[in-house]
Amino acid sequence: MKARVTVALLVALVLVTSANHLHGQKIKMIVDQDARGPATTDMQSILIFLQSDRFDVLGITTVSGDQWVKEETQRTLRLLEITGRTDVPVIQGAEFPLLNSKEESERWEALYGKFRYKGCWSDFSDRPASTPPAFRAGYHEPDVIPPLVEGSPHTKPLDETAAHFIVRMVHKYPGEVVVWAGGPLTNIALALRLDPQVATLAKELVLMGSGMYADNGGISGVDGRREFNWWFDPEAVRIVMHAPWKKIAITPIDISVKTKLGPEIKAAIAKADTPVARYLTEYSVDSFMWDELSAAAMVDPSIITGEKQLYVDIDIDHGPSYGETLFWNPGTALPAYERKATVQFDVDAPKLYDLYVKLMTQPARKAP
Amino acid sequence: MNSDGKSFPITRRQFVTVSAAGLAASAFAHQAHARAGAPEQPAGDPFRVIIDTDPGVDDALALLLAMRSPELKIEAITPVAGNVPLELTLPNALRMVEIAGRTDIPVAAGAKAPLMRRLVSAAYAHGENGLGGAVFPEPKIKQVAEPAAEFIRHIVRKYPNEVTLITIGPLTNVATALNADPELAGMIKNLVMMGGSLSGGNITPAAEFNIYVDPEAARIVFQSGIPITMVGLDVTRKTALTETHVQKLESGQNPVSQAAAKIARNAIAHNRQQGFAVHPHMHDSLAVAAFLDPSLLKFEDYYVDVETAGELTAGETVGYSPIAGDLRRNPAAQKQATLSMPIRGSAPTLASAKISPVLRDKFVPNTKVAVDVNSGRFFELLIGRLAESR
Repeated sequence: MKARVTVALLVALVLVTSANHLHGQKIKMIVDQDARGPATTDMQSILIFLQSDRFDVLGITTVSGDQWVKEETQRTLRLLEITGRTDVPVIQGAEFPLLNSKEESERWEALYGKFRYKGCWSDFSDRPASTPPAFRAGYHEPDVIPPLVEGSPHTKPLDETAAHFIVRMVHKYPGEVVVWAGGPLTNIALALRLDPQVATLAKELVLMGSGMYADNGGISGVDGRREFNWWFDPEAVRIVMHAPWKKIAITPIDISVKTKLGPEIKAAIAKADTPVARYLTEYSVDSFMWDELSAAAMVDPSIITGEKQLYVDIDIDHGPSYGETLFWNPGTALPAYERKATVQFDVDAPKLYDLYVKLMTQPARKAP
Repeated sequence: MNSDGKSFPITRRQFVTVSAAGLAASAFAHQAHARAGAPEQPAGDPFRVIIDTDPGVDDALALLLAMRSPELKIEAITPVAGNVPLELTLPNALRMVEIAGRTDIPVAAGAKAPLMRRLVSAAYAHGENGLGGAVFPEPKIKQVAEPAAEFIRHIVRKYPNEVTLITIGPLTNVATALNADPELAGMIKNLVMMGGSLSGGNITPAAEFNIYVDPEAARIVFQSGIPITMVGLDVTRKTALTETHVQKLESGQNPVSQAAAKIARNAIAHNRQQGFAVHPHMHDSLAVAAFLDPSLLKFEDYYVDVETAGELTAGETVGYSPIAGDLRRNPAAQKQATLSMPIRGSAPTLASAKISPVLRDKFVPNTKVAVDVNSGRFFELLIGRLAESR
């Protein structure tokens, strides 16, 4: 117990010291992420927050989604070691969605059809050997941590739950903390249930999730209103999207599919010889820039060239549409608990790519 | 599973398997008297418990009973919204602690609302103030700073495998703690709940109140792998308080007995006013009693899950007994079921044809369900402990 108190005091000291150094100019961030690794959209968005000097990352909270949370935590810790940013605390979050489960997803498939992608419930063991390591592994149980190609971390997460960390930070810096979510919203929902004041104490909620108009007509990997982060834990989305946030900004898949991390960007990054660039060059995946876009839009909002105000919610009936996005235009007569969000739809893609390459090729920021 | 991979000392799967095997073994050995899922500890050492509650008439009496029971080391009382809103269950819990002179017990404020749903309360049964209209002074003591779910987590982690959760309200606080801390379920010794029913409900034809208020939380708890003892309407319906009981409480020469009598008297009057044909049932006290003396009840092993989606059946506890009647399980299939039963998720009827085509071979009991009670002996315990002089 004493050791725990000492650790907590040390952590508090580190946070206080870093706050003093940063003159209060930077945006205080909680980066909540389902950190599949190595070098997926999840990890790359974390890197954007670490590499840009606009942010003071209070902590990275992990949550099951793209991968099980225990593996994600290890990969995130390792990423911070590689980039020399072990000053940023990692806090492990929820292992299971509130209600959804692998078993329920299999029952759904038996009744209605196949899912394209199931995150930590997927089995990629039949993928060819040329597939990047993040998407080549077979299914494993939540408790198992497979060998990490990028190496095993020697650092550890804080002795705290992600939900409680979120509660603690918004109380410590009332009105200052942006809660950013790149994965399922389980941790944030639990934080709201621990303390309903979280929504009003935070500065803003920014998230990658949901889908509106995008469909699978020629766009591979996209299923209209069924977007992975929201589909994985629909009940958490319902809790979060009914909470009284001051402001909500959403990066939906509609805008994700207008971006592409491809060979050109990778080649530009490969020219740099930094730990970050080497990590990305070694492991990164060709993909839409799901989470990178949401993070980059916080660095430079002018990357977003078109957005709409919409009421956004989710279907939590456990039927064929379980986990699909619901949305309405302003002016629709709705119950008072529906929340309006700023939803991003158009992107200046070249500007995004330039910013991304610049951040990923510059030397790692020093720990404050 | 990757056998080369690093894994935790005890995996969740192993934990669930051990818990389930413990339940099954005790059932076959007719060890229903043993406290579910845990080895007995040396005589004289009190059991560490946390009481999660929504007082509530019968909650109030259950709290008083627990605080007068030397077998229990009550580590915390965690009020939650349920019978009445948290604005009332919290002060009511604090009042009970003061009345019992047990201000050493910390009280931590819990959830204001169920996980997913709006609060349905039961002022019709508990009165507007939650105590059947019995009025007590404002409490002087305060709750601790931490929220209930976080407080539960700290206590369980401080005493791993020692703490029993006695839950006599909706399960919102417990579910929040379990979801926030994935390791927690494996450190909780067992859970004794008042909740559920395998024989029809009391707030809807299908659902018992505590489960109905927060079915999603209840499902999280039933699927957690914690060994559960369920004291539901099947037995609590047999525990109506009588005039004689109240008179005995009134003759008890201590403040607890007097307060219990006042609450009971008011509750009986309130019940009559509301048109109930029977006197109030001591649902929650029976759950506490089931932990104090399991020989008061008869238990059977069930696989229990909670309906969360039904139009008519939301909040129904669905119980399945793989050994009911003359059914016999194939031992090999039973072992296989224990190994491959889903840890979290819905009943494996469709998803797991690979285990066995026979339904009863697929399920491992997760709950000891109380199916009968000796209510005479129960009231001797309840009234006796409240009324005795110290």
